[in-house]
Amino acid sequence: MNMMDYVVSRVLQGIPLLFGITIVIFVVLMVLPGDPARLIQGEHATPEMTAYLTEKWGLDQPLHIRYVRWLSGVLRLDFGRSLWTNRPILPTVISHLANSLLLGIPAIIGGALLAIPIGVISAIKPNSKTDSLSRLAALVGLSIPIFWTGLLMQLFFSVRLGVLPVSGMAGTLFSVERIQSLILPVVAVVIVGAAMDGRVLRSSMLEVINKEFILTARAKGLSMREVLRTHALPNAILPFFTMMGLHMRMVLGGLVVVEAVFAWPGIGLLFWQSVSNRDYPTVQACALVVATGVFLVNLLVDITYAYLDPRIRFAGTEGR
Amino acid sequence: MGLTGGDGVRDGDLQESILGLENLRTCFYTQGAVVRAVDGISLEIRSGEIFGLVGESGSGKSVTALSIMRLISSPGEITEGRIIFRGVDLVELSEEEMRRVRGDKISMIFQDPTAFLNPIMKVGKQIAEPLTLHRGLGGSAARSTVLELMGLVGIPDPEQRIDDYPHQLSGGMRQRILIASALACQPDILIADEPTTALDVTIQAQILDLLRELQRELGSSILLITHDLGVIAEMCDRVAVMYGGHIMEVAETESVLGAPQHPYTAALLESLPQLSQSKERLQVIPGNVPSAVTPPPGCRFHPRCSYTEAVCIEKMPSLVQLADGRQVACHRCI
Amino acid sequence: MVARLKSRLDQLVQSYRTFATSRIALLGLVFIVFLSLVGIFAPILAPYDPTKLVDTRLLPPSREYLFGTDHIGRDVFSRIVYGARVSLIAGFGAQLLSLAIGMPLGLIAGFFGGRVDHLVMRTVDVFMSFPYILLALLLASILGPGLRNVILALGITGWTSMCRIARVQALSVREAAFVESCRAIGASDVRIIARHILPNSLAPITVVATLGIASAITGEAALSFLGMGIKPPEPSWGSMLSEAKLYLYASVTLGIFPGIAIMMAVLGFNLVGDGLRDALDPRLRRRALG
Ligand SMILES: Nc1ncnc2c1ncn2[C@@H]1O[C@H](COP(=O)(O)OP(=O)(O)OP(=O)(O)O)[C@@H](O)[C@H]1O
Ligand SMILES: [Mg+2]
Repeated sequence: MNMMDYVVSRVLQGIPLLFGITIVIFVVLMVLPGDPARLIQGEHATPEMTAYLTEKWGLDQPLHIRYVRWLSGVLRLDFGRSLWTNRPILPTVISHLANSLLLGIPAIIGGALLAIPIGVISAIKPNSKTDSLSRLAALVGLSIPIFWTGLLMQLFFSVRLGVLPVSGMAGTLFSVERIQSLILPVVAVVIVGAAMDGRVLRSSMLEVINKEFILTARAKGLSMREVLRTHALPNAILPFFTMMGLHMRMVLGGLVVVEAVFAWPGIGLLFWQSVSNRDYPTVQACALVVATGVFLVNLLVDITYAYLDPRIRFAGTEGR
Repeated sequence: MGLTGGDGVRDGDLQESILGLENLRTCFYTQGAVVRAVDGISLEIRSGEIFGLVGESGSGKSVTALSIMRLISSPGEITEGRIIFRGVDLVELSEEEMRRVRGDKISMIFQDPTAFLNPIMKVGKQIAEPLTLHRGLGGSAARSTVLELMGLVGIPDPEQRIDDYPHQLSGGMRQRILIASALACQPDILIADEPTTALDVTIQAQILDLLRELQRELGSSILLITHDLGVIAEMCDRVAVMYGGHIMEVAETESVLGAPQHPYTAALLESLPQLSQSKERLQVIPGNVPSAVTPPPGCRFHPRCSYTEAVCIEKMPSLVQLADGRQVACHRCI
Repeated sequence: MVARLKSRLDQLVQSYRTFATSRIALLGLVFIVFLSLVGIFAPILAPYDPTKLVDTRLLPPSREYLFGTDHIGRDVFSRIVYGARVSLIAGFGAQLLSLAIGMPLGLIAGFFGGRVDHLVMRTVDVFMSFPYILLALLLASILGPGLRNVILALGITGWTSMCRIARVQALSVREAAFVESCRAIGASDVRIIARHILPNSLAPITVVATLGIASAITGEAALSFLGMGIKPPEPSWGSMLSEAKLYLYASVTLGIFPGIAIMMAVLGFNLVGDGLRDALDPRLRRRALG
């Protein structure tokens, strides 16, 4: 099987998954107890309004017809209009998505980079003091709720020192203000990512470092440092890399909360606000975008992995 | 640089000792117990010879080899003894100094070429590593030397193979890659720890032939570790028999195999009707291999020996030189 | 049979030793026990009613109000003490529900394989395409606020890792020789699962469940923080933090104590879960080879 076949088959595998995702999103909102037409009005529901909305959204239609109608809209990238603002959902989702990427990409990269020293230090001397300490630190990093880290940083950097804005997205793209307003939310996500990735990298480093080829490398006269850099780390990064896809989901979850803490106008904030406002079409759109994002990242990770690992890249050329 | 063309090391100084172990002791400190894997052995490897180290599984052969390379890592430690290489005690060297010896003056190849090659590094790069490290070769100079080396170890079509990854080669080819990288800097000694155990029988013979040929061309000494007396008979000039972390007998191959003096060597030979094919580990002598944690008192072999006397249980026999030059550690021979 | 029992016992003793010698894991246990006691004896420990106004608002910590008063004048200490109850009940409750959903599904998928397995695993994949908190938030908003609904929302979304681990266990045990012999003597599937697969899977399931409690506690706090969980005046550490967020400039302590409490609880379960994993996994216990 060559690379291209692999990519194609991997993409094809994703179709039923995406299909399942749309079903879950639809079903969760439409089947769970309560009539959406009433739920959306919250505590001040009136029978007239309920009847009107039922009619308008075709809620009297059978479920599968409603699903097909919604899905065909989604496929045409038509998510409908927001119940809250009555504006088309798609442009709102896109601009929020862009803001989320602005926050999420540096955060994820930062977390992974910070994980490397954590994982390597721990693995050089397993069960040593440094190792125990960095393991504990990683666990603490995972256990601190992200909204509390955010809050503490706001207390210290914004309220106490007054050096960074408390929340919101300031300035234009690439302006100093924008970067300043990015710092705290990015750091909040980086802490979680570094802790998570550091733990995974440690265990894959420990596994690799006990492999026989490490002995060969040392028998050549390479220093431990060089062995780690040129032999251990590249091998440990591979399994670590596959975990990144899983982590992405957790980091995105953290992003939802962080955006709420810092009032960062990303997809997470939009999701939260729409949930609070019972703006269900927007909620559906956000959920779909996030889930598709998780899927795409996983796809990308798998393909990159297959490319990075020569055993997969050159599969079928063995034992010549 | 010429990789071939031995510079005449072999002729004059065949008798010169190049590596000497003196009372080497290596222990592993595992949960509560001390494993004395190598328990005070003395050996001498001469310049230009193939020296065999034979013994049952667990007798301490690999630990001996790794001790010479100073690659014993925690929880293991060289606790006693000296490793004299060209007049220098390797045990005393700093890690930094030792690194300059590894892969350059002394190099090592291992049992299972698949596990001992980095799966995600091109084989050419893996061969080039010692050249870059010890000779400062890089780029095209390194590449052409690697190609030459690959040809030398009998890899057909080196140009095609240099950018392959290990999994694209067969087992025999992988072992040749390991050999090429070990010989890249023309070491004085090559330690080969069961280099053929993981290979097919037909390939085994090819690899052994290659080792012998290269040894002749390069003039290196080889410490060949095996549990296969057939391999010893075919390859080695001299041989040491190891048992329970001790050396039992050291002599020319013909005299050890032809007229063994130590009861253990004799039992080992008897247990093997045909010297040639024995892929399984030696475990045919009645009784068990002694525990390395609580070894029997006196001679390590006495519980399985048919000539045991009181003195064998009381006192550990030391390795003594007999009139014909061979060394034996047995009370009967003194 | 006796031999098997004895080796299992030895294993357990060994696991216990590993766990007990890990000071970090014991620290986690101390946290859990401490918070559990606080939760159980909340009515005795708390000096005031956590939902009642007791004094002026935003008072700093004092002898009277250990952690001060909140933005409307309730005793923060009492709210934290009662919050332990809410937090632990939510954590255990949600994880129990996840266990009840995930374990049978996973065992069935692993044991029967084939189509059933495929269906279950694809469902898991779909659930795992969403960040945990996102689905929980969605469910909580539909179900409405309150402890029961928080447990439901977190339980229904958090079962996937349990399902996966149970499946792997069932898969690995399914091929074992003694299961084959049980089949041969005509034991029913349910019996094989209950008598053989389940006991063998207990260790890894315990680990996953312990870590799951930690993430459910975080989940409850996050939902409450986002206003979709426990609603004031009921005390919840998460909602206390979201109130503190509005009074950042007025009071520092308001944002500190609930956070410490959440961290203690989550860290406690994470530490114990981590320690248990090390203790129960013989592969990790083995020393590195030279
Ligand atoms: N890392 C280690 N920790 C503890 N004990 C060890 C370690 N490495 C080796 N040993 C012990 O040292 C003894 C000698 O092992 P060694 O690997 O040298 O045997 P060997 O002669 O090479 O056997 P084989 O033919 O199986 O390769 C054995 O009893 C082994 O258990
Ligand atoms: Mg060995």
